[in-house]
Order: sequence, then C-alpha cells, then structure tokens
Amino acid sequence: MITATEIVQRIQFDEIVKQVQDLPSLPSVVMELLDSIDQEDVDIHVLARKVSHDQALTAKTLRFANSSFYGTPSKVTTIQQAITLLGVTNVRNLILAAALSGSFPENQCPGFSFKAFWRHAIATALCTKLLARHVHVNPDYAFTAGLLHDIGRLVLVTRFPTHYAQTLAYRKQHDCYLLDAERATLGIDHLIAGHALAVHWHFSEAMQYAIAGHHEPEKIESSLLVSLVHVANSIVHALDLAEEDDDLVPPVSLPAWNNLGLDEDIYQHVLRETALQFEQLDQVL
Amino acid sequence: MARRNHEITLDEAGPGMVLSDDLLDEHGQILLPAGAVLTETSIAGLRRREVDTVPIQGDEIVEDDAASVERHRIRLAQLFRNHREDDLATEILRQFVVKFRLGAS
Repeated sequence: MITATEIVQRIQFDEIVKQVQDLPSLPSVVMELLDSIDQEDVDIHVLARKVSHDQALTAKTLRFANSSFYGTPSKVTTIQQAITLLGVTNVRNLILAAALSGSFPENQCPGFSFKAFWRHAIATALCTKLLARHVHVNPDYAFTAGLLHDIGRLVLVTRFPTHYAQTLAYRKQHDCYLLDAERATLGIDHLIAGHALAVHWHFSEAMQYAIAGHHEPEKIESSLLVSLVHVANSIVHALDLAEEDDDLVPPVSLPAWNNLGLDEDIYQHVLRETALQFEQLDQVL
Repeated sequence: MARRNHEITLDEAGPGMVLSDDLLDEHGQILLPAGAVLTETSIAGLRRREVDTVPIQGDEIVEDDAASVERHRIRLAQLFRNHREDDLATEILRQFVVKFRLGAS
C-alpha cells in the first residue's frame, strides 16, 4: 500500500535529460518528414525510397494504409503505391505514426497500457486535425502535434518503469488526474519530459510548446496549436476512445476554448468525425 | 418519447404502417396526412401517383436504444466525475458531448 508520505522516489530533471539523450534518434527519414510538413515542394518519391529501406517502418506504415479507414480498393503493398492511392500527406502521417510507435518498444510497467496510449494519441491526432481546418492551421502540422502531445509519458514509462508504476498506483488510489499523480510521486511530469524530448529531437518551437503546454495552455506562450491540442485532448477523453475504465476528462481552459472560438455545429461535426474516423483506424492499432 | 422515423420506398410500405409526416404531391397538396394508417388501397393509390418514398413513423425507441442511452449517460457522468459546473469551458464541452451521445434532449 502506497501512501503519499512514503513516496520519495523523485526524478531529477537532469536524469530525464540524460535518459532522453540515450533514446535512439528518430530515423533520419522521419526527421526529414517532420521538417517537410510546411513545404509544398518536398520530393516525396525520394522519401518513399528511403522509407522502403527500413523494413519495420515500411511494414507498419502499410498495415495502417490497409486499414478500412482509407478504404483502398486493393491491398497496398509498397510505399510508392500508398502515395499514389492515398496522397502524400496521408502517407506522411502514416509513416510518422509508425515511426513513433516503433521508437518506444513496449516494456513492463504494471498498470500502463501501451495500446490505450496509442489509441489516445491517434484519436487526438485525428481530432486536432479536424479542428485545425476551422482555424486555418496546417492540418498535417496539427495531426503531428496531436500525435506527439503525450510523448513525455512514453519517456517516463520506458525509461523509469518502476517510478512510473508508483505513479499509476497513486493515481488509482486517489482517483486523480495522471498529471497530478506524476507531480506528487515524481516531482516531474510528462510535460517536462516531453519538452526535453522535443528539444532533443529538434522539433520546431511551436511543436515544443504544444507538447509542453497542452495541459495548461494559459501558462505558455499562447498559440493556436497549443489551444487545438488542449481542446482535442479533452474531447478525446470525453469520447472515451482510449477505453480506459477509470479515464477522467481533463478540464478545458477557457482562454484556449475562446482562442479557437468555434460554434456548436463545428464541435458536433468534429465529435462525429473523430469517433467515426477513429473507429476505422482502431482495428490496426 | 422519441421515435425513429424513417423514409422507406413504396415497395417496402405495407398496410398498418403509420405516416410520420404529411405526404405531399409535387404541388404541395396533401395526399395523406401525418398519422394516416396505410392500407392496401391507399398504397395502390400512391403507386398510381408515382410516389417513390413515404415517411414512416418508427416504433418508440426500442429497449436496446434506451439501454444504450442509459449506458452512455452513466459513462459520461463517470468520465466527468471531477468536473465542477462553474468550470465554464469544460461545462460547454460536456453539454456538447452529452448531446452527441444521448441525442437532443
């Protein structure tokens, strides 16, 4: 039985940075993909060839591409074919999702479900992208930010599994938000860990803010991207897409909500589409 | 009590079905009023007038749907168990999701 006073296993920021630096870097082709999101004239065929050299990445990407979400008429067997059928931006998002899930091999951390983690990440990516259209933010950029927003949690779970098991036990016992459990047990949280990783992986500043600020957007330099991820995160919890029994909807920040300024019709559409699109992708997760 | 009304083709229509809305011809004249019970004769009449589809009153929400609404209601209350009503933005989102899951109240 764990009580708050017994928990002294704090993680120092330096340890996080050290562990993050030990993480394998993302495949260089994925870094190129991330860098190319804002570019129109990227030579996707060169990228496709590079991706094809990574067996694991290719297999995972094609598995996503063959889900009913994309409803391709025939089975997609090469990255090149996927691009022809699904378009550059879809394939770019698929490769990214596949690369990220491959960067954090699953380990044993009692109480943590990698499956639920990725369900939440993908659903948030879809929802952020749907919201982004209405506030004129690049939808692929939004998708990526949604996909990455909780990446710090993977750093904590995979690099500090014993610590994090305590965090999860504390959360269960107190029925509180995971964020608060992290702060109470570790003295650090997934926002800090995610930010350290985003810096290490040379993500753009906007992406770093979106990862570091998605729970308390009012504390960070306010940007549309942070607000989008913040609101999408709560929507996905409210839609119950991760299917975690003791899930809790995080509070929505009023400044972030107002920053988007969207009306009910748009939200109803986003709720419907997020649930629908997620259902179609879910089967391959 | 909510009903699941739906549009069906005349071929699917049968005696005893109840119209959910007025059935109008191309000039806006009422052929059959809402609530009318279809008969073999009225269906034949509609066929002569080349009516393709008819709006049919559904059964009152069947037990399965009622059970699913109840399940969503309980689950939403659980997901929002930490929520305070004076938390404005969260309350708006909660209402949107309730409406999405349970339908307009």
